[in-house]
Amino acid sequence: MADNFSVFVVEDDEFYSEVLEYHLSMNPDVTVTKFNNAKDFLKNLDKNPGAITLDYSLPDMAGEEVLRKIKEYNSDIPVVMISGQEDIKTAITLLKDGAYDYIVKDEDTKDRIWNAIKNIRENQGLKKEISELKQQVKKKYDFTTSIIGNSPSMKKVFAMIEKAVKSNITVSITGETGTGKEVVAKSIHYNSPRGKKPFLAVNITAIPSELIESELFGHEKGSFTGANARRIGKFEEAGEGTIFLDEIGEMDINMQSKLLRVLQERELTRVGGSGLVKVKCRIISATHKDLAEEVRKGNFREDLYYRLLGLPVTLPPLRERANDTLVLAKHFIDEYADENDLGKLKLTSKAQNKLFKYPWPGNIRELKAVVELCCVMTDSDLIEEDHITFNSTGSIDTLLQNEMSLEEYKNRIVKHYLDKYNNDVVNVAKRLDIGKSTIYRMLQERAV
Amino acid sequence: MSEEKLYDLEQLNAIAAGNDDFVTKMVNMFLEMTPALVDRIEAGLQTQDWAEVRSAAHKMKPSVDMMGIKSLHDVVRGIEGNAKTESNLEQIPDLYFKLTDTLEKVYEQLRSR
Repeated sequence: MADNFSVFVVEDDEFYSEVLEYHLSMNPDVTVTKFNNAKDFLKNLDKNPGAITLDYSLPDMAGEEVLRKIKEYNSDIPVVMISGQEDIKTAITLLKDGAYDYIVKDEDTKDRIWNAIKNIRENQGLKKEISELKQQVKKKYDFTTSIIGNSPSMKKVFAMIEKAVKSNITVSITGETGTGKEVVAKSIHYNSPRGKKPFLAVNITAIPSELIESELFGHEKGSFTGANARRIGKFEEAGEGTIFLDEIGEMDINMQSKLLRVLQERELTRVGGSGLVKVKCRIISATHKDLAEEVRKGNFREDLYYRLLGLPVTLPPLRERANDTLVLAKHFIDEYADENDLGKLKLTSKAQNKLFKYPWPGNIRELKAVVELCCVMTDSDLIEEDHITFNSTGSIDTLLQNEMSLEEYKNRIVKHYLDKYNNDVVNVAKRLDIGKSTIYRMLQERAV
Repeated sequence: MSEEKLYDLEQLNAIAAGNDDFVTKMVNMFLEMTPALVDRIEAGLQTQDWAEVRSAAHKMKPSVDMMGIKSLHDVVRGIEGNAKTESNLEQIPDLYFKLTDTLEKVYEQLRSR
């Protein structure tokens, strides 16, 4: 808070304003400008002082009147009213009209004013910080920089996001795990006119099903065992912002009908409550499942599916994003190097090839983890093939990526089963539905 | 001449935080502006303009307090209060004389400070 803080002292008592000026100027960051009448002062309001101390009884205008004019001009400027005598009624009126404080001229006045100005400065510092942070968050989720990719499939995604940003429409995001569903949801929120309002993410799978209703809609005190106080739900908390319902496909069917009702009525009732609360937030949902398929299977309500569908954004898996893998890998390497002061790191072409060939079942999340590990593993400014390790969870895609012959695959499968069942050939033969002799033969040929 | 000191600059010194020039400036300011306020009270008394008496007494409060003239604390407030409510008006002249008497001595003490 090194920047200068301007205080306007509006006071017709010369003696008193002199004392005030001197006292406030003890803080080197504070600049005091004095005015001894309302007219001159109001003419200078456009200089936007950080705070104003205003004498209640000025010769040319009543205190309430001056206060009203300040508030009309800019209601954010804090005004400390100073009065010659204590009058509770006046004090209450002034505070109601937006005065920051009401101080009576007596022995303690100077300390009270000093404190008031100090609090105002701290407050404004915080406000400034908040707006700067908000700006930073917005920048962070500016989708032209936070979502990276040049592939044709991503171009389509960008076009959809742009449409979502400009409208208020409900958005549904589908994509495999790790494709960046939450990043997209945040980008939509922070770039939309709602960007300054809250963004609340709720992961349906992270909340026990019996608690989800109170989590989303809130509850009144005593509505169930353990409800010791009234609680506001996520929908209310989001206000006019955005609520992000992640893994919506996992919501149990009972809760689905409750959510549907809220979305239709745009109103909710807290658990155990009777009053209706308006729902004003935007809804973005996401799932890694094929919801249409879930509807067909009867696991997801069709009416809710259409209610949530709105603008569908489908995030392609990384393996279908052509060159994006390398673009993203380079981005994560730079980001990691930057955060850890590592200097420039480069991928060798063999390493690039290895990253490119891998199918990335965990998508961008996995890529990020793998890349960060390489950055740690390398001892130079080059990332080699050997530095890249995949902690594959053994998905079938990864296995197929090895491009072995059928014979080799067969051997591998049998070996896997033998390992798993302690070389119990009878059991393995039964499970694979092949003859025991086949396995013995393979063992004899040392194929497994 | 061991006269009782009628003023107390403790508060002013506290604000000045060691800056004697500021104290001198404020003392001089007090000496300059107070007589004019006293004149306004007197003029108001003569024309029975109680609003003027009240306003002048009101304006005197901060400086009298700041100069630590404790014996005038209630006097100034008495004049202001009575003039405001236009009650006990007969007390005002007495209070006024107490005010001028004390101020004369304070002026002298401050000048020879």
